[in-house]
Amino acid sequence: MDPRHVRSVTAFLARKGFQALIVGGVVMERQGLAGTTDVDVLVAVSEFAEASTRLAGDPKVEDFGVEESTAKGFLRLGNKRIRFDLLDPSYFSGTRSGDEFFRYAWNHWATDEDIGRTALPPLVWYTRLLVESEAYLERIADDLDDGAPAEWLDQALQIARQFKNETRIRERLRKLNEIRPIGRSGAGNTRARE
Amino acid sequence: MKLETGLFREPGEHSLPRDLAVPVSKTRGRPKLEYRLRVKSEADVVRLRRHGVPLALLTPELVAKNGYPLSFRPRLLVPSSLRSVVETTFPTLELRDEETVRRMSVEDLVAVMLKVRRLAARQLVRRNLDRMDPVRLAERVFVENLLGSASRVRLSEFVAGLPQTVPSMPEADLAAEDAQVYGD
Repeated sequence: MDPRHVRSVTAFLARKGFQALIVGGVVMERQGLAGTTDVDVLVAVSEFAEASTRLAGDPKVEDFGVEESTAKGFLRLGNKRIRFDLLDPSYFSGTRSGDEFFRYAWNHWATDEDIGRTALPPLVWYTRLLVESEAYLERIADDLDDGAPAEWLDQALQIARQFKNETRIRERLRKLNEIRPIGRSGAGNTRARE
Repeated sequence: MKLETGLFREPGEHSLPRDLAVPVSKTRGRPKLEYRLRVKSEADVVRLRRHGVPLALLTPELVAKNGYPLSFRPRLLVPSSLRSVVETTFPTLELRDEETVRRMSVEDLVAVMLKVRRLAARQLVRRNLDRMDPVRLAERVFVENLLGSASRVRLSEFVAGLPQTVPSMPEADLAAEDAQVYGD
């Protein structure tokens, strides 16, 4: 995805008062892996709660809507529309508060990049492992096939321990292992699955 | 033991561009040269294709042009028959049949994506139903031995006669993916 578009989204969100941590496919893409062309950001709980108030009426924001733990919309940039998703950190915080998770992610699993504060890949995998849909396990399996290091899964488990949802993550890892047996290191160049 | 193939030019045959087809040895006693193909850029692939060499570059632009925006590292598609004679800086993806690489129709693209991103392959099928030949797609899936991947993302929904050989992802998860709308 064009980094200028990502920057436009994060700059727009900053103007609207959001402290946004970039997660999702944009992070993986910067590691040379695949990503869909949308910008996922994690925001603080209070900011997520105010997402509608802050964004819904803005003329640059189109098709805005909130579904459970995700607020989705499109940012109009000239003749382009950039899809963005705001994620509620409470979904990922296990036994602790959403804001504790947000702060932990921001302080320990992120770096400052030209596109904005950007999560490290193990944090993205942690969030993907917690989402119910098997589509997110597929994405992790694809990343592993593309050479992503399996150590990122160990680090995702490390994050899970902080939030007491290690059991859940281990269940998901078992499922992931059914989709793609997990080795101890990345798979190198693209491999045929069959 | 494995079978290795070579790329040779017979006397009188049109030559490939010298910077792309690099001679490696002269076969003793015969006026034939053995070549290796050196591929460093998309332009190299275009030139070799013009000369009838079955190579292709899988790019995000190609996938986006067919209706699904996805970022990924380009991969050089190489038929198994040429694998040992291609030197490239691109990650490579090996296909069983030269025809998949040579044509690169939307059906071939779906087959290739089944090896790279199965969910994207499904979306390509959904977004190109009106111009897709299901018979050719089924044939590509069989030829490239991709029934498992096709089953996982339930391509049998769109391609009659494609057997479901392994359980697919849950229907609700596929429906949620189908419902995703991305930007321009």
